[in-house]
Amino acid sequence: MKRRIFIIIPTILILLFLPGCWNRRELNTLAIVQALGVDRTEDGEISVSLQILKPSAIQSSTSDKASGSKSVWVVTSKGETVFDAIRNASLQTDRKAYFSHNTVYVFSEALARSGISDELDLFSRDSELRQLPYVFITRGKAEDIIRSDYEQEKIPGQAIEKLAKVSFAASKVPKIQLIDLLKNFASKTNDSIIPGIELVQEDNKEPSEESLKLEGTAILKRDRMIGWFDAKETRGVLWVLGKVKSGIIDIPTPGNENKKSGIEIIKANSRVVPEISAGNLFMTINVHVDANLGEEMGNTDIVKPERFNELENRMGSAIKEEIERAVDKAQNWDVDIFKFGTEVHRKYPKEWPELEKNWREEFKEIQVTILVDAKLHWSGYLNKPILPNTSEGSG
Amino acid sequence: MLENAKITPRQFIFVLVISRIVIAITFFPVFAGPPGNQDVWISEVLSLPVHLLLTVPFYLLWKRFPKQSLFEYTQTILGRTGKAVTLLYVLYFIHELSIFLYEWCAFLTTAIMPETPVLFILLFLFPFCAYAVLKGIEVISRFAEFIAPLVFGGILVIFLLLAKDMDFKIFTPVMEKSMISILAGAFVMGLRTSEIVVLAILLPHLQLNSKKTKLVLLSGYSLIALFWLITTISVLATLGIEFSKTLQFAYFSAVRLVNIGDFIERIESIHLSIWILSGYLRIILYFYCILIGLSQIVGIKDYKPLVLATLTILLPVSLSYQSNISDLNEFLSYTIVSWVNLIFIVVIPSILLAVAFFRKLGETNA
Repeated sequence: MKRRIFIIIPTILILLFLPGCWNRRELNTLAIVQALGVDRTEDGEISVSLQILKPSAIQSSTSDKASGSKSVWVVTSKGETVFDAIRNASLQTDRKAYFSHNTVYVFSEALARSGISDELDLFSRDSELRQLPYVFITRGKAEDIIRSDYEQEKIPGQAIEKLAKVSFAASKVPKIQLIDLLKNFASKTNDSIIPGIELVQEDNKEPSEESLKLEGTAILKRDRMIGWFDAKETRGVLWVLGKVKSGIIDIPTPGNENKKSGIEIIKANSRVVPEISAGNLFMTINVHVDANLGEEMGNTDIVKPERFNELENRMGSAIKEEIERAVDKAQNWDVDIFKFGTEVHRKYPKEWPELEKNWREEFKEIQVTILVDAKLHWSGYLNKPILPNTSEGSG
Repeated sequence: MLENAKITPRQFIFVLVISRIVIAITFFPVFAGPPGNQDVWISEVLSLPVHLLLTVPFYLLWKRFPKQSLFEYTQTILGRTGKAVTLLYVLYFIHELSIFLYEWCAFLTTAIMPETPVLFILLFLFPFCAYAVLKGIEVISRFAEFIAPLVFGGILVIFLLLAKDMDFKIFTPVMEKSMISILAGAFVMGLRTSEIVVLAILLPHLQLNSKKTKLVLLSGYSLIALFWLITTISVLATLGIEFSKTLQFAYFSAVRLVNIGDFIERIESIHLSIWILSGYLRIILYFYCILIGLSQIVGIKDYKPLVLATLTILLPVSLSYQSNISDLNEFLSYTIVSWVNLIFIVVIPSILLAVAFFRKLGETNA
C-alpha cells in the first residue's frame, strides 16, 4: 500500500504539469483563419488580408443570415514581408492568427505579375501553414475577395474552397492547390496555371450584392504571371493535362446548323508522346473522350447513325480546336504549361540536358499533332425530339 | 560477456531495422548523395548487398570470438591498447547519439513545438532513457519487438493513404545516370548505417545457432531496404523529385498531404507517434552501447552505476553539438559522414581482424 502511494502521488503531480506545455493553444486564444489574401501596396509593402472565423457567430444560428451578424471578420495588415504582415495583424486582433485550417490563398494580379514565389516561401516553410489550400488570382485586389460575402455558405472562405472543388463540373477553370504550384516551381521547365476569381456585380442589384465567380486562368511563366486564358483555352490545357472530368461541349446540331447541341463529357484521358527526328521535336497529343448527348436544340432526329456520327466527328473537332487554341497561345507566350518538358525528359533522357538549356526556344518550335478519339455513347432518356420538325423534314 | 542476456533473432532484426529507418522518416537523406534523381530506389535495392559487404569485417571477427562483444575482443586482440580502441568506439557512439539527439530536437522544434526549449525536450527524455537502459538489453530488444508492428504498420498505412496522390511516372526515365553513381549511392546509404557497429555488440547475445546468423542479417537488411523503398515511393511519387529535394523533412511533408475525401486528413500524429517510438529505441540502443563500452574501460562488471553519470555528460555534449540546421546539414552530407563511418565500420575492424589472424587468436575453424 505504501509503495502504491509512492507511485500514485508522483503520477498525479506529473499529470498536473504534462498537459500544459510551451506550445499550448486554447481555442479561445486562436483566431482561426479561413482564407488568406496577399496584395502589394503602392509603396511596395505586402498587405495581407485574413478572413477570421467568429466561432460565436457560427454557433448562434445555422441558417439566418438576416440577423446581420457576419460569421467572419476580415483584418488587413501590412508589413515588409508576408510573415511580418501576418504578425502585424496581431496588433489588430486580440487573438493570434492560426493557419492550420486555412483553405484558400488569393493573390492579386498586380502581385502575381512581379512573381509570387517569394510570397509562397512562407506558406511552404512554416509548420502551421499547409500545402493543400487552393490558390487563386484575382484581377482586382485580393482583399476585396477576402472581404466579399457569400449567400450559400456562412463562411465565405469555405465557399471559395467549394467553388474550386465543383469547378470540375464545367472544366473551364483548373483546380490548383498550393502543392501543385510548388511542384511546378521546383521543376526546371514547368510553368503553372492558376484559376482566376472575380467579384461579379449584376446590373439591377445593389453594389453590396456582389458574388464570387471563378473566371479565366492566369498563366505563369515560372512564377510570374503573363496573361489570362479564357474558358475554352483553359479547357484546351486541361484536355492535354488529362484533368477534364466533366463539362459540356457546345456544337452546332447536325441538320439544324443554327442551333446548338450540348455534349456531356463523361470520361477523358490524354497521353502526350514526344518524338525527336532529324533534330526536330514533335509532340503528339492523344486525347480519348467518352461523352453522351446531353441536350439537343433544333428538334432534329439526331439519334440516327449518320447524324450521330456527324455529331461525334464535330465533337472531336471541337475538342481539337480547343486544344489547338491553347497550344498556339502557349507557344506564342513560350510557357510550358502542358509539362511537355517532363515528357521529353522521360523519353529522351540522353538528349534532355541539351534541350533543357534552351527549353523555351525549343518549346516554341515543337510541332504539335493533336489526335482526338471522341466517342459518343448514349442519348439520355430521349431517342427522338419531342417536337418533331415537320416543315423541314428530318432528311 | 557482461550480461547473460539473450536476444531472439526476431528482436535482433527489429532493433536493427527500426533504429535504421527512423533516419529515413526524419531527414530522408537519400537525396543528399548520388545519384540524387529518380533512380534512388535502385540504390536502395542495391543497399542490401552493400550492407552485407560492409558487415563482413565484423562478422568475421564475431566468427573468431563468438562469445565476445566488440569491446571485449578489442582487448583480447590488442591487449591493453585495446582499451584505446574501445574508447574510440565509445566516443563514436557518443558522437552518433549526440547527432541523433540533435536531429530529434531539430525535428521537434521545427515541425511541432517551435517554442519549446531544446533543454526541456532533452531533460524530459533522459529519465526515460535511464529507466530503459537500467532494465538491460533484453528489455530494449523486447521493446523493439513490441513497437515493430506499430512502426511498420504505420509506415504501410501512410503509404496506402498516400497511394491516391501518387504519380508513378515520376520514376521514369530509369537509369538516367550511370550505374556507378547508383552504386555509389548504395554505398553512401550503407555507410550511414552505424547499426553495423551496434551489431558487433549485440551479436554475442543472439540466441541462435551460428549458422543461421547469416540469414538473420540478410532478412534484417532486406527489411531495411524494403522500408526505404516504401518511404521513398511515398515521398517521390507524391511530391516529385525536385520539390522533395528542397524539403528538410520530406517524409513528414508528404504525410501532411494525406487527404482522402476531406475525411481522413491531418494524420501527422501517426507519423509522429511512430517516429517518437522508433527514435526513442535508437537513443536507448546507442546509450546502452556507450554504457557497455564505458564499463569495459573502467573494468566494472555492472554498468548500472554509470547510467546517471553518463547522462550528465551526454546532456552538455549533445547540447554543444547543436548549433544550427545549416551545420547539421553540412555535417550529415555524404562527403563527411561516409568517411567517418567508413573508418569505424570497415577500417578498424579490418585491422583488428588482421591482427587476430596473425596472432592466431580466436576460433579459426569456424
